[in-house]
Amino acid sequence: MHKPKVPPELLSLILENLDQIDLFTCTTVNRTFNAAATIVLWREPVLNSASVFYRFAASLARTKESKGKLVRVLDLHRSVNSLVTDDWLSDIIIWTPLLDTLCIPMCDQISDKSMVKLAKYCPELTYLDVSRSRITYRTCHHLRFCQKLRYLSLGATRDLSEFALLPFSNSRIDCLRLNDCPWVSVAQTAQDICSLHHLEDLDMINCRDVDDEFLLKLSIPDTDMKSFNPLPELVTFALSSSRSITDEGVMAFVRAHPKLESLTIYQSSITDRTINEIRVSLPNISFLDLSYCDNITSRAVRRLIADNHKLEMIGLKGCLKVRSFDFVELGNSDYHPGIDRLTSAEMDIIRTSELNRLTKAQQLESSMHDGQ
Amino acid sequence: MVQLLSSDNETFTVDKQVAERSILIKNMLEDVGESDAPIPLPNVTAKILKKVIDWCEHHRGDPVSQQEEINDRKRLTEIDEWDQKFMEVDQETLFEIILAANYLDIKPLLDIGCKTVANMIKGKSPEEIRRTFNIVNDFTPEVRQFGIISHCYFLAMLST
Repeated sequence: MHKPKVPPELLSLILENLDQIDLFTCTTVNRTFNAAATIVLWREPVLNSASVFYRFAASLARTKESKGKLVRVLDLHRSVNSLVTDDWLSDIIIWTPLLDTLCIPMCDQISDKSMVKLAKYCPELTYLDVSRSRITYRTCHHLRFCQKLRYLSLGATRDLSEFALLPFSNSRIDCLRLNDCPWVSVAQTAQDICSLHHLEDLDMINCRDVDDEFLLKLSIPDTDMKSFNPLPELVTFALSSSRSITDEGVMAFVRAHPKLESLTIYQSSITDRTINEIRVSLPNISFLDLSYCDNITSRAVRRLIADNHKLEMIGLKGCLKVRSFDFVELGNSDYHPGIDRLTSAEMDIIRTSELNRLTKAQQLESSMHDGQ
Repeated sequence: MVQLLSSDNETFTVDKQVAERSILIKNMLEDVGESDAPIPLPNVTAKILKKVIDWCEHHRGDPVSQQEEINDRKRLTEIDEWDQKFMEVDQETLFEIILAANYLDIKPLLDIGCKTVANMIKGKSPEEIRRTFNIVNDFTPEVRQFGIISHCYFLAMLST
């Protein structure tokens, strides 16, 4: 049969739609299929059991770079987390020079030993999740050689110092996760974060020392530096702290980052003043979570919803002054006085009733005016 | 309106909006500017170009900027009903459409084409795949063995 010649890259594109078992079958069809399926199989190996996990390392040790060069993504499945050790990882990454993504969250046996190798052997790395690992400053020092790094998760790392982000100064990182990091300090870490000019997404949930001063540092141009606001590209921000977070810090932060689309502030002392600032300063806000901020009231929330049409979700769990009977139009039951969240559809209903109320008020006003 | 010239010298007149589903043509139009001269497409025959234009007509209203989402981890092999009917063609035509979509840079059409072929492979044995696509096993015995060994990390999974 005459068949148009399909170039190998197109055959790979076709095979990308298959799972590993079908791909493995394809490698045994003929040479063309073998070449195309091999590329796809090794690009993102699914290591979902102990035996596959060890065999993968053994195969790589045997085939070395010929297969290692094909590996782009190592996203370790939860079920093999406990198997990931420095030695295992070191044996892998020395053969994967084009590795793009390494995702080993919750691997608490990982330390500088393998991570320093990573920085040396995998210069193409763009995505790194080493949350809960035991890395120290030494790893960060070496990681600055991965100049393409965009995503970095250091969540729940315990052994880093407050200078951990210093080596990344002026890097192109656009997403940084620092949740549950006890080492984050107001004095040092805030300054280093400010030097990440490309940052779009910053997660600081449960960073115990973060306070208003920290937020102010992320909001006001450093007098020594050129005078532009820090983090001009910030779109997503999340924060909670055991310190007191108040209107002063959050309002300044909101004003300085007008591109914000997603904002999470848990358990703070902010009041309606912050909500009004959000209403005025963040035209693009679509996701807002203010759970356990118990000073905010329904009145401000209603105004915010009425004015900001891009809002799709507001989290209000544990906000004691925002009660379901403040939103009668939603027909919530009286048995459950709190509101966990307001969804897009619910906010549409609120907007309609706010609009009606406004129209009625205007009518009333104009009729009073006529009466005079 | 835009004029397109197939490799076998047939001219097609289509709406600009339809033609611009092809990023190649879109870029060409931007470079050349307003012109009545037909755009030559030396890699596409009239038969295939007609099919591609049909597809573009049907999908003219689709939002264009969904292309980024393709990076999503899980790839769905589901194809909508119209597209499924559209792809019910002989194998040669199917591959020609894929090649044309690739050349004309019409990502969604390329995707559907690839998924259609992938569905023809799914769940089949190597021998069935060879029969489906009329291809021969060109491995030497040694290479064949080596090919399997080099993927041995999957064998564990296959046996479970």
